Amino acid sequence: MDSVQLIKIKEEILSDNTELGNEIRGRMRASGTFFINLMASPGAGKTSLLVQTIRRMKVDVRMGVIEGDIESMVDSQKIQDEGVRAVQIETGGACHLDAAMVQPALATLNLADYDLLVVENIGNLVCPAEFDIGETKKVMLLSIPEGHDKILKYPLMFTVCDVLIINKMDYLDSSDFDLQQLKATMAKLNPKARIFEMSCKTGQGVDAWCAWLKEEIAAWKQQAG
Amino acid sequence: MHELAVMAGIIDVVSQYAKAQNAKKILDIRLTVGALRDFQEVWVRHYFEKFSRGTLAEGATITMAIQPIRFRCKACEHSTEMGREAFINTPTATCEQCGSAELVLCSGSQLMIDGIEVQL
Ligand SMILES: Nc1nc2c(ncn2[C@@H]2O[C@H](COP(=O)(O)OP(=O)(O)OP(=O)(O)O)[C@@H](O)[C@H]2O)c(=O)[nH]1
Ligand SMILES: [Mg+2]
Ligand SMILES: [Zn+2]
Repeated sequence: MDSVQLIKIKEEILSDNTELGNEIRGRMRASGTFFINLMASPGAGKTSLLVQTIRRMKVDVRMGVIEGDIESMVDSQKIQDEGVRAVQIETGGACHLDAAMVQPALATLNLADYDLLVVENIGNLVCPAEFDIGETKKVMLLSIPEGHDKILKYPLMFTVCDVLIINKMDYLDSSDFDLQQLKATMAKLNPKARIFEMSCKTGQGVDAWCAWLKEEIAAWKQQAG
Repeated sequence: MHELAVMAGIIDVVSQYAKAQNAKKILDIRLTVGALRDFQEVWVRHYFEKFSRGTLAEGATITMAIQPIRFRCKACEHSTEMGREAFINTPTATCEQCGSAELVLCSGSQLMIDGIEVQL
């Protein structure tokens, strides 16, 4: 006689990916490499942020960039023009990066040579929020033209990020973007996140971001011992 | 479509559990999904059918228990629940008990395989 049985599992979905992410985080800790997962919509200003950050920090901080955005060399080239190594990930049209996709790119780098590695994730506010890639911090960029309601439509991304950068602040006055409402919702969803208001065009807020980043890198290295 | 990557992972996990019990087939897969997760049932089913072919999970049903978004009030500890729609439509929601706007998310981002029903 066939019988039906209930089996209890209680396992987090994506736990395989999280395990691999933890392994990568462990290696980053050992090498003292601060590892950023940079996420945003297409065109929010990820590459611009990287360029601004490189210009201010590359003298003191050994940086590298992993480009996950759709297989074109355009963004990698902009990074390399700034004198920083960029590794392109073969994404094959994926909608997000996961730990397994990042690993081969990391394998081409000697981690001990880097104080800061940044992954420019695929432009998408939905899927990348789900996947740990072993990052030290998740940084998300929202740009003013996208609208303040993005936090209501894509709440998970805003819930999981450690840092929210509001970019293209130079457009604020000419838009109906409700900065107060965005911050109020953020305070409910994710009160611990650091918020930076920025313009990669005027340079507003970039120094504050770089100062924060330098402190975080120093703290991370101290932890590595 | 992250549901694709997620589904492949789910089928791996449930198949392992079913095999360990010598089950003939999996009848139902029970998931708990927070309303903050972008996890659309139509895609979940689509990818499930595709990836479960030839596995113990082929033909199984999927039961998704959607957990509401829940905010705890910092002032009075009362917890206010809302679905995804209400969350989107009331960005200025306040505590339903004391009216405070000092709310903090305490539930809604779960993503868990609860268990499976198998035929032995
Ligand atoms: N006005 C203004 N324009 C900006 C700012 N930041 C970036 N841009 C412009 O926005 C456009 C997109 O910027 P990118 O840095 O390429 O954005 P991205 O997120 O890397 O874009 P993809 O990789 O293509 O998804 C470019 O034309 C930038 O010059 C800003 O703060 N203000
Ligand atoms: Mg870019
Ligand atoms: Zn209250």
